Amino acid sequence: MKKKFLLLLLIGLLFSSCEKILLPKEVENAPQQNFDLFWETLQHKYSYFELKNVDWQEVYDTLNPKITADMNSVELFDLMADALYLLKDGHTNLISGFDIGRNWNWYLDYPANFEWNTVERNYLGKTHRRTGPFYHQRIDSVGYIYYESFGQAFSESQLELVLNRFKDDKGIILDLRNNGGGSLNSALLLASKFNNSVPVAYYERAKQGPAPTDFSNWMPIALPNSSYYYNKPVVVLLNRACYSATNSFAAMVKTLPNIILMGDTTGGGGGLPVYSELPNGWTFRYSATQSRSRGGVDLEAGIGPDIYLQLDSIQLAQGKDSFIESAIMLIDN
Amino acid sequence: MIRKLCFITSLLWCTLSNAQQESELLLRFGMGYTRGFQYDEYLSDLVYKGNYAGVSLGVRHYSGNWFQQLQLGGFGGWMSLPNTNTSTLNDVGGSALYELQYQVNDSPIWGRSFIGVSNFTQGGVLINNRFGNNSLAYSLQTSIGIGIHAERDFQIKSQSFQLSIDQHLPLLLYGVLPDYVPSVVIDNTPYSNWSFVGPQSLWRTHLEWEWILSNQNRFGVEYLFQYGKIEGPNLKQWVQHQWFLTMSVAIL
Repeated sequence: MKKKFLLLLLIGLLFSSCEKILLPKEVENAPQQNFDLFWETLQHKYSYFELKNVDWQEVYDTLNPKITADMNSVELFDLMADALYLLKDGHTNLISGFDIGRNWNWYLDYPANFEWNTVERNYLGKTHRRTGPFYHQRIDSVGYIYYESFGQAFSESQLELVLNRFKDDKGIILDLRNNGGGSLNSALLLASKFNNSVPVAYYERAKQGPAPTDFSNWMPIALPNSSYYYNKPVVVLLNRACYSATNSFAAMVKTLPNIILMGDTTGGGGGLPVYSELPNGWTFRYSATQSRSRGGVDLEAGIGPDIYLQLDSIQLAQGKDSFIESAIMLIDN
Repeated sequence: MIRKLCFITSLLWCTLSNAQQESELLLRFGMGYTRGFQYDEYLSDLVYKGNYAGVSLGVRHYSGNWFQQLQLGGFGGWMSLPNTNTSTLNDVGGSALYELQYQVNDSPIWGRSFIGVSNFTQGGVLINNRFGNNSLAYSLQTSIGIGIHAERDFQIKSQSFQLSIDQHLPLLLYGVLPDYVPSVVIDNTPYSNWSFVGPQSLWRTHLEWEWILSNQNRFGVEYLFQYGKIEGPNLKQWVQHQWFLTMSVAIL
């Protein structure tokens, strides 16, 4: 009996550490292993090497000799952040406890074209309403709505309540300047209220494997059906800081009959960002899909306006926002 | 399909229960600790380690030469990065095992052995709170295969004990995973696939030592080893070791 019991015990003990045989080997927490894992993950899953014209192997060959076993965390971080910088992608970051590696030149290299104090004090004023994330005010006979982030959720009824406020006005100005994105579902819902003519919001294809060409076919993203349609003119104000879901929203509504995009080209951000992490606990994110507009423009490059504007500094000094003034004039006429 | 399966199962259960042979029905409860390991390329190329609490509930039925059991389990806990021990992932899941077996051996030395079919299903959700669009890595796997059960009664100081081993050997498997990367366009439609053992695996080994009371109720300790693998768009592999205290109530 003892023998059988010992046999069972032995079987149990054998299983108790077999994860070391069955599972992949643990990645060591050392500079070289952290760098290699970071590079390989992007090599397999990053979606925009071709568009960015970046030879990722060349990046490895350049940076790898600089990796040493005794380099400190900041040195390693800076080296890996340098690699990400080359991708010029706002959805691609290295995140540690002490810094975030980034390339935000997609808006920092361009005029801001937005001055919140002027908007708040001279257009929204003290009497503006706030419905969910929407700041809204009537300016003469034009509705003005400011929405600062698609990360701030709203309900369909809140949105329709805001639009209904301006149903008897000449039109609305939808100010999305400095809206850095957030939920694509919110962008789709908002766009659906201005559309009764096209079924497709934009197209997307997903990375489906580690090879550079492993992509799905381009597939349409449908604009949700909406029983509510705002049929007056809508001017959407944009600047370079419009990114990600806001950039996608611009692509969704561009070319719709009542919509005019006004301002600067949006910042881009056409890939869906996903995350991974390294043995040292740092996380990093990167674009993992590609998207393009109904007209075939890659969303990563940004969406150009129908009417290009730069904020007039002389008007700004007088307390006027030339984007809003131009939009009012356009709707009035 | 599910209705048919339920009907056939209940028919078998009733038939076996009504058999005019020696019959025993045990209602089983268990709870304890689970040590888990997960590798999921959907999240990263790291092997996460975790500690869980788990419970189980089941019935075990002997009728003549037939043996069948249904075992349901649930677990929940935290996983951490391998080197930092920072608990950043939550893992919850459950499993179901059904076995129907026929006695093929009854010897005074080796005890009773049964062999038959078994179905083992395991599903879980691994949540990495530090991630965004790919924070949720789920999996569901079911397998049909060969079930083997062996048990041996023995006495120590006039008390009755039983040692048993229970093995599920998968043959045909069905696995569900997220796609290679999350996407809006395909609305994160999961990858799913049938395969024979190889690209997928769902192994289950169960060892138990029970103390049988005079009223046939039982207290026991069990060790359960489970291993799963799906070679989908991203490779997923996991290992669990469970150490449970069990109680079985004889209701027949």
